[in-house]
Formats: sequence, C-alpha cells, structure tokens
Amino acid sequence: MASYIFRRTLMAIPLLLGITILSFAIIKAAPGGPVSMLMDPTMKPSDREKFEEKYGLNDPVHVQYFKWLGNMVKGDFGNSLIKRGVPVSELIMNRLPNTLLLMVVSTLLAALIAIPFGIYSAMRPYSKLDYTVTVGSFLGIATPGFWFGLMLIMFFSVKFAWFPTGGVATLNAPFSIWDRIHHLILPAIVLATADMAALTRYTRSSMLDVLKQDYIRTALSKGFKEKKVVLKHGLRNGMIPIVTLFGLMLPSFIGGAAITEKIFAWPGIGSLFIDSAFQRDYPVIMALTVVSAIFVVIGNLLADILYAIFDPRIEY
Amino acid sequence: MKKSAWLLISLMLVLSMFLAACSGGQKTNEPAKETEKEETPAAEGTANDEPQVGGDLIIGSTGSPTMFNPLFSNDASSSDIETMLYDSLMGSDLEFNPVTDGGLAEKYEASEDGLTFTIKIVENAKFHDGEPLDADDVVFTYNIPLSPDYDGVRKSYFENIDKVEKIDQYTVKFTLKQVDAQFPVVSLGFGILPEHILGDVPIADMGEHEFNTKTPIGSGPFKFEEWKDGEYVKVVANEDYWDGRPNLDSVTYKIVPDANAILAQLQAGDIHYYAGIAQPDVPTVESFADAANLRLESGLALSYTFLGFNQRDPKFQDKSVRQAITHAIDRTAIVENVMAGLGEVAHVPESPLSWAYNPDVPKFEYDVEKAKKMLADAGWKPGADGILEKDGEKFSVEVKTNQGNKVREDIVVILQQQLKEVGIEIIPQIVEFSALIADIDPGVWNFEGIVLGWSLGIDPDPSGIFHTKEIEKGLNFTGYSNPELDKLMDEQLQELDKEKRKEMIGKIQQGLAEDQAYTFLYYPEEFRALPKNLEGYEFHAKDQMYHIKDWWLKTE
Amino acid sequence: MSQSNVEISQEELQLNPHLKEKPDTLTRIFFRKFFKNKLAVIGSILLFIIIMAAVFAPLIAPYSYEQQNLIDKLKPPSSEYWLGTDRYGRDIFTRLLYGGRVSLLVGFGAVLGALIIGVSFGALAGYYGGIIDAILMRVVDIVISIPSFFLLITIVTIFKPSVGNLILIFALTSWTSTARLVRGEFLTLRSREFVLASKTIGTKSYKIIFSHILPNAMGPIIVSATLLIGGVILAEAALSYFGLGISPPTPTWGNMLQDAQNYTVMLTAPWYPFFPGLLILLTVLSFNFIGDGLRDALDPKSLD
Repeated sequence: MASYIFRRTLMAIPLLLGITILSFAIIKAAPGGPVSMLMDPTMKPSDREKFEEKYGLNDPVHVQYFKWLGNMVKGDFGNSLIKRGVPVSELIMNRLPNTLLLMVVSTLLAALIAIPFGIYSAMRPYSKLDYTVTVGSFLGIATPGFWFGLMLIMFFSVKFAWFPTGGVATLNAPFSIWDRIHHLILPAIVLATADMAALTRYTRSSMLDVLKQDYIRTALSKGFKEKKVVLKHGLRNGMIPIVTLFGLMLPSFIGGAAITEKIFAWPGIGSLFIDSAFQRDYPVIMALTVVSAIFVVIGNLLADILYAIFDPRIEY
Repeated sequence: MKKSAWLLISLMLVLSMFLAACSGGQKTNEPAKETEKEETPAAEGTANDEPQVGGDLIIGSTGSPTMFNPLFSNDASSSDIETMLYDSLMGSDLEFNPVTDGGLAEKYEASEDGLTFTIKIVENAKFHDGEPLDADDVVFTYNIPLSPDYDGVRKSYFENIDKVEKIDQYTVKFTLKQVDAQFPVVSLGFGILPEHILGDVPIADMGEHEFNTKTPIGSGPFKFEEWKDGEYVKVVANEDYWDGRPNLDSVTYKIVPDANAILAQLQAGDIHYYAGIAQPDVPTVESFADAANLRLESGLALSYTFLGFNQRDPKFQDKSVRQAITHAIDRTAIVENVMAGLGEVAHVPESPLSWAYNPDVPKFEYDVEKAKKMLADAGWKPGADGILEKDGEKFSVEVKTNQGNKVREDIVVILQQQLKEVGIEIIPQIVEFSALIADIDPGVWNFEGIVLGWSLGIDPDPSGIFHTKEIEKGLNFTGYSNPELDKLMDEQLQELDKEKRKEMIGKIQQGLAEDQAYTFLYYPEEFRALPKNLEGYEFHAKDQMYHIKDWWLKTE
Repeated sequence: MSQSNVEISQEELQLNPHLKEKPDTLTRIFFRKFFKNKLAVIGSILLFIIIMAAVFAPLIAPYSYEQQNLIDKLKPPSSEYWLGTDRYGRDIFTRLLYGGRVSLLVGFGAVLGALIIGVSFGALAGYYGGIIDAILMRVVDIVISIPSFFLLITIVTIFKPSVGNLILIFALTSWTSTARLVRGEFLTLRSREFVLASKTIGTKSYKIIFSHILPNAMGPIIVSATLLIGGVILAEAALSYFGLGISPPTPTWGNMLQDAQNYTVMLTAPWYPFFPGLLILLTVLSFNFIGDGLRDALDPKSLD
C-alpha cells in the first residue's frame, strides 16, 4: 500500500504539468487582461505597455508559462496583479480555511442525512417513504442555490431574524464558537441540499444492486435479521460507488461553493476564483488551479484507498 | 479628502452599477462643539441637535477594494477608503467647484497666465503616526507620478505638470506646461502620502509596497485599522485630526458581493449605508426603509448612459441614420420601465448638474413615423421580412453590453423591441466584462452597437471622448469625428474665463447633439440608503463619503 | 441489450421439449417490467407532454415570446396571462414553452455527449486497468482540475453563447463523473465469475465490455445520467447568474429563473421564479422516474 501511494504521488507530477499547461493556455486565450481592469481608461497605451512589460504579460505564452512554472516549483506563486503586492499564497491561505470549513460541514451534513435515507429507500423500494425521499431529493437537485440561498436569507434572516444575513462572523464582535456556527448554518444548508439529493440517489441505487446479490439473499433466507444483513454485508459493498462520489466531490470544494459564497458574503476560495477570473488576475487563477489539482490528486488517492478497504477484490 | 476616482479627467467608464465615487472635503460647517450649547436653555437648540460623538457605521459595497494608495488604485471601493485615510490639497463643493474647504490648502492662488499655482497648506496637519505633514510631503507625492519609473494608473492626470517646488515649509508651487482649465479640479485632489515612510522606496516598487495594503498611513480623519480580504475594511477615528476629531468612532466598510443579498442585509440592519441601490429596487427599499430605520437620499448621478455605434461602419457614418435611430427610441419609456422612472432623458454628454450643461440643443424626440421617413430618405427600404435593406445589406445590428448590469441588459432587450418597429434588427449580446473592454480597445473595435455609461468628471471637458485625436489610441472608440468641434474642444481647454468656456462647451454640446455622436439615453438618479438618525449628511453626486468626518448618529 | 446469463439458444429450446410457449423476447420483458412501474409510466407521460409542448410551442403559445408589453409588467396569473407576466410584460407561459426547447435540447445533447465520452473512458479504464487505466484516469483528472469556468468564458466569448456551444461545453465538462463511476463499476465487475468465465472461453474484449459488463453497470449509469440532465439544466441557470448563458431575449428555464432572481421580484412577484423552477423540478423528476424504471427493466438480475 505504501508503495502504491508513493507511485500515485509520483504520477501526480505529470498530471500537475498537464493541468497547468492546459489551464495556462485556456486562461491566456480568454480575451482581455488584468491591464484593462486595473488601468484607468485615460491611460496612454504606452503606459499600459510599460505595465505589461514589467509583468511579462507581452512575452510569448510559453515563455510566460515556464517563468511561472519555475517560480511555482520554488513555492513562489507570485503577487496578485490586481491587489498589487499581495502575495497570492496569502490571499489563498486567508480564504481556504473558510471554504474548507463550509464544505466539510455541508458534506457531512449531506452524508448524515442522505445515506440513511438512501439505505432505507433501497430496503423498501417503492414504498411511501421511498417515494417521499425520491421526490424530496429531487426537489433538492432542482433547486438552484442562488435562488434557495436568497430565499433562506429573506425568510430566516430578514423576516424572522433567526440567522445572520451573511459573513463568517459578526462584525466588531469578539470571537465566539456559537457565533461562527450560527453564521455557518444557512450556507451549509444550501450546499448540503444539492449534495444530499445526489447522495441519496446514489446510495439508493447502489444498495438496491447489492441487496439483489446472491449472498444477501442467501443470508436473508438463512434467517438472519434483515437490518443486520443490510448494514453488515450490504453496506460494505453498497458504499463503493458512494466512496467514488466523495472522491469526486473533493475537487469541487474549490469552485463548487462560488455562488453560495457570493450570496452569503462568505469570504472563500470559490468567490476568489470567480473574481480573479473576471479580473484576469492570472497569478491567482493559476495558483487556485494548482490547489484544485492537488485536491483532485488527494481525492483520487483517498477514493482508491477507501475502495481497497471496502472491496478486497480490487487488486493493485 | 479626496480620492482619486473623482479626478477622472474627463469621464470614466462606468463599469459596474456603481458609479465611481468621488471627492469631498471636510472643513465646512464648523461643528460648534464646545461653544454656547449649554447656556441656551431655549427649547429648539437642545443637546440632540449638537453632533454627538460615537458609533460605528457599516457601509455596504458589492465591490472589493484593491489597495489604499490613491496614486495606484483606480476602483471606487479603494477610493471610498482612501477618502477617509488621506487628505488632499483641494476639495470640491456640491457644485463641483474646487474649494480649499475640505482640503489641506489654506490659500490657493493662480497666476495671471494660468501657468503657476501657489498653495499654502495648513500648518497643523499630522500623519497618523504623529509625523507632521508639510510641503515636502506634497512635493514628494506629486513627484511620484512624474517619475519615469512610475507604473501606476494615474499618469495622465499629472502629465501637464512641469514641476512642483517647495517655497517654504508650508507653501508649494505648481508650474504647468500649458494652460489647463481642469488642473485645480482634477490634479489637486489626490491624497498626500508620507515622505518619511515612502521616501526611500524606489518608485518602481511602490505599486507593490506593503504600505498600500497592510499599513496605509495618511493624515485623514480616520486611521486604518484592518482589512480582511473579502470581508471588510475597518477604519477608526483619528483623535488628533488637525481639523477636529470625526464624530463617528469607526467606519466598517463591508463587502457583500451579491446585489440582492446586500438589500437583504440592508433590510436586516446588518448594513447601515448603501449607495448603489439599482433604480428598479428603489420602491422595494422604500417599502422597508421605515421598518429598518433607514431613509433615502437621492440626486442626479454625475453620469449618463448611451447607445453608441461603430462609425467605421458606413451605415452609421450617415448622420441622418443616427438621428433616425434616436427618433425611433422611446427613451421616456426606457426610463419609466427600466429605471422605475428614476432618471431623465439625456440629450448631451454632460450632466444637468454641471455648470457647463447646455439645455438648448437639438432634440430628437420619439417619433416612429419621422424615423421611418428619414431612414427611407437615406435609402433604407423594408425588405420581405420587414427588416430594412439597402444595396442588399440588411439593417441588422449586434448590440453589446456588459454582463452584470441588469439595467443595461434590460435596455438592450427593450431597444430590440423598439427598433423592430422601424425595421432595424437588434441582436443583443451580453458580454463578460473584461472581454467587452477588450472589444472596445483601440485597434480592436469589435462591436457594431454598444450600450454603456460614462461617469462624468467634475470638469466638463468633452474632448477625451469625442475628439478625433482620441480615435487612434484613446477613448473615442466609436470613431466619431467632426473637425469643427475638434477645434472648439482644443480652444476651450485653453480658456480660463469660466463664462467664455461655458459658452464654447455649450456649442460643442450642440454639435454633438446635432450629430448624435451617441444616442444619449438618460441620466440616472442615484439613491442612497442611510440610517434615519444619521445627521450631517449631504448628497454629493460624485462622493458617497462626502464630509464623512461631520456625519454623526443621533441617539434619542 | 442482451445478457449472457439469461440467453436461451435455439438448441436449448429443442433440447427442452417441455417448453410450450415461445419464451419472452427481451423487448417484451423490458416493456412488461417497465409498465409495471407506475411512477415510470407517469414520468414518461409527463416528460412526453413537456417535450411535445416544447416542440409545438409555436402552435400552443398564446403570445410571442419576445413581445413586450411594458404596461403589463409582473402581472399575477390571470385568464389573460395564465402564468402571469415577466419584467417586460411578456407572457410567462409562452416563454416557458419556448424556454423548454432550449433547456431540453441543451440537457439532452450535453448528457448524451457526456455519456458517450464518459462511458467509453470509464469502461476502457476499468476493464483493462494498469497503464491504460492510469493514462485515461489522468486525463479525467486533468479535465476535472481545469477551471471549467475559464473554459466557459473562453468558449462563450470566442464562439458566442449559442445552444450548440453550451451543449459542447457541458458535455466536455460533465463527462468525468460518469467516467469515474463506470470505471468503479468495471473494476469490481471485471473480477466477477461470469467475466472470468467469458475470458476463459476466449470471448472478445469488446463483447465482454459491451454485452457482459456494461449491462450490469447500467444501474449507476442511468442514475447518473438522469441526475446529469437536471444538473445541466441548472448549470445553464448558474451560467446565466454570471451572465454567460444564452443571450436575451431567447428564453431558457435557467435564464428565466435567473431573471427572476431579484429582491424586488421575489418580494412582489414570487410566482415568476416559481414556474420555471417547477418545470425544472418536474422535468428532473420525470427523468428520474423513467431512469428508475429503465434501470429495473434492464436489470438482468430481476428477471422474475
């Protein structure tokens, strides 16, 4: 296993190269540049060129890429071109914890609710509860976050004043755990709603498959308790696709919450990504791409390891 | 305290829904703090009418600041903060005249020939770290953008300065290269930076210096406390401010990127002051204002929205076609429906607020029949599908506007409908921001029609946008050219007599209206929500933070 | 879709004289099982209606989808405007019909594309494993990590946001989850006895992949496809949120929903966002019910 992990980590290097080359090319192909955002329209073209030259924005794309790559390997992501002088790493590290917190909480919330419902649905397919869960989960999928988020704010924050309207903590107030949790609830619900739906569906589908397997039927026909059979034998196999799903969800931590972050004024990575994209803040975009690639690598690795734990038949 | 955005030489693109904010000053109404308040037992002058000290004001913004150095930043949010942190030499009053009030200048003198300006600054100004501010700091600040190493965004504001000299400890002299009617308004509004901190920093590195983002130090009424990226910027009262402590204890500038969420925050009381209310939302805000303890202040914004055509396209070179298009557009209906009636139809590229506004210009009112006739006279005949044709070419125009501005998107959709009446086909294209800017870049000009807005500068000079010399490399992206007006535009910049200049600019406005250089659409009315008990507030069209030092919160 | 373990050959038939009736064909089994599932039938009918309404929109629609009537802005549902009007006084019912055309087309097109790419990648990677798996999955990783938002901006700005481009973009960015899922299924299935048996008797690889393993992996694939369709329709809405969707005045359910995403509209005309939202929900639900029905009907293990 250790050597497997080592091999996988080595394999991540060409992956990172591929991702960064492609991303760099796409980002540079998008029209516009930081100069048009940063620069005052009254600026003379000669002054713009001076700025572009200073930051090497006029060099051929491959020259720019290798320069960036060289610095990146040394751990230097450069400075933002818009928030000039602020190191990109600082911008990201300031926001990454917020996003991770939000994503972990919402994913856990989703899993805690979705998996039991999914299992129960599979045990009693086409029962009333199954239908309710199905319709409910699709309600979740079909509800766009930007609408749901605003609805929650309008009702629970503005009308009933049960929750804060946004942000990570109350302004000008001392740190308090309860305050942080209080701010976390609404955005986490919005994110969990979408995840929950997918998770319920996958769990149900996967468990249905497993429950039809011969060994389950055998166990049941031998008179073992249904609950025990399902949870002990069925769950283990039924969880395989779910585990893949978690692996898949990890990279979406970076951009997946962008809209929710925006609506709840949650200072996270997703909104940073979108802002940088609109502003063509190349160093920030590239750094975030690398972070996202790292998440992909970790997600895959985790999924594969968990796979092995759940399904001993998988060989490496 | 000025900020930089108000210095916009002529006009600057209004990129988002929010107009670039602007300048102000702080001196005006002496807060008669200590005097006679106790001795008058008269009922009217109760203690409640005296400014009270204290309180935190939360200002909402959808934009995030980028840095706090007026010579290097150019967004409205940064400007808002810079206004509080720095003092500039001159301020502007509600009519946009340059005044020493609200600036460091105590006395300001222009020479006969208009080439030198001598400015005496106050002697008791101090930076937030306690160091005194004197002529050296002024000379230092103004020499930064004059340096060849300067890589910031503000160079063009200072190009006309030949030199800046220190006369004595509190007097500086500016010498210009040529007469420039805009100089006092445009160039003297930049915040003064501390030489004792930045003096040793190479100018080439100044744009990236930590000072701008971590430890900005100015001489303004508020001191920088903290900037949490994506969350807020907090400034606190400068107790030692040379013109008296501000009334508010602190100001928190809160960033809420979603325009709908910011209204919710306003209603919930999590934001106290917001200046960017979209006109269609004004009735909504009005409906909850009372319950949320808010009131609205409004005024005409110093900007206008227009529909421009790429005049490199032969069909738009015909003046009568441009006039016909204006006739075909029901601008009153646009203001009524898109702006909830909160604006005025525009006829010239200058705000009615400006001293140079000329109401007496050719106007092209809504008249579909006339438009049809004019187009027919110009050779455009309806084709089989009802769309006009001439020499086999269909009158079909792709009209672009920037994404993220609902009002403009609505305008394009309505234009499509209205112009269909006369047989002109409009194809709306909503384009992402940076991409749109790239489309109108000199040399690219990748557009047929475009709906945008210009935020007007305090000075009414129109040449930055309509002069022929601005086509090649400047802001005249529609390619409009009228040699007669070019001459007038050059002359008015040399004219120091305000009345004469007004007359010249008035003529230029007539010419631009007659030519329909743009189809001028409307001047928006701007609405700001603020706490009911906020006193000392004055609506300044270019500066949402105008005289913030004198604002105070009344407690019952 | 045939399956190895239930096939009954001619010879068997002859060898089994007791068989009186002709055995059910796979198609008949499929339909019988599908129609037994009531929800699947309801879903099919619903979806059929929605699709027909979209197809025949020009015949059904009482108004023009772009005809504005600014006096009748944001009117509540009435006999004149069945579902009310939008911010320009356009009939919401009409716009929903036309919007369905674009939304459904984008949904179907993108998911079809995503399935083709995703299933091919996943099947090959999962079946062969080893170096092929490693390479294919690295491609998947790269696609996942590329900021699709940029891909969007680039494609949209270069080629304009047309229906075809949206399909292309969504297909190119959404096939990865299917690929991973299929690979996961193949990884477990390829070591099953029936696969090993087929291999032993020399069955060709493509036949094992398509006739033997794929049918067994159909369940998760169908579920993911039904989820994807809803996802794509919503992604179009999210794109509109950033102003990168289909340009007005062409309606889509997504951009209608986004257009209604406004504090004032939500307070004063809550029905406006409700209807496009409801249609998205109904469509997604129908797809899912049908998906469930298909899944059971195609499942070789639930023959009885």
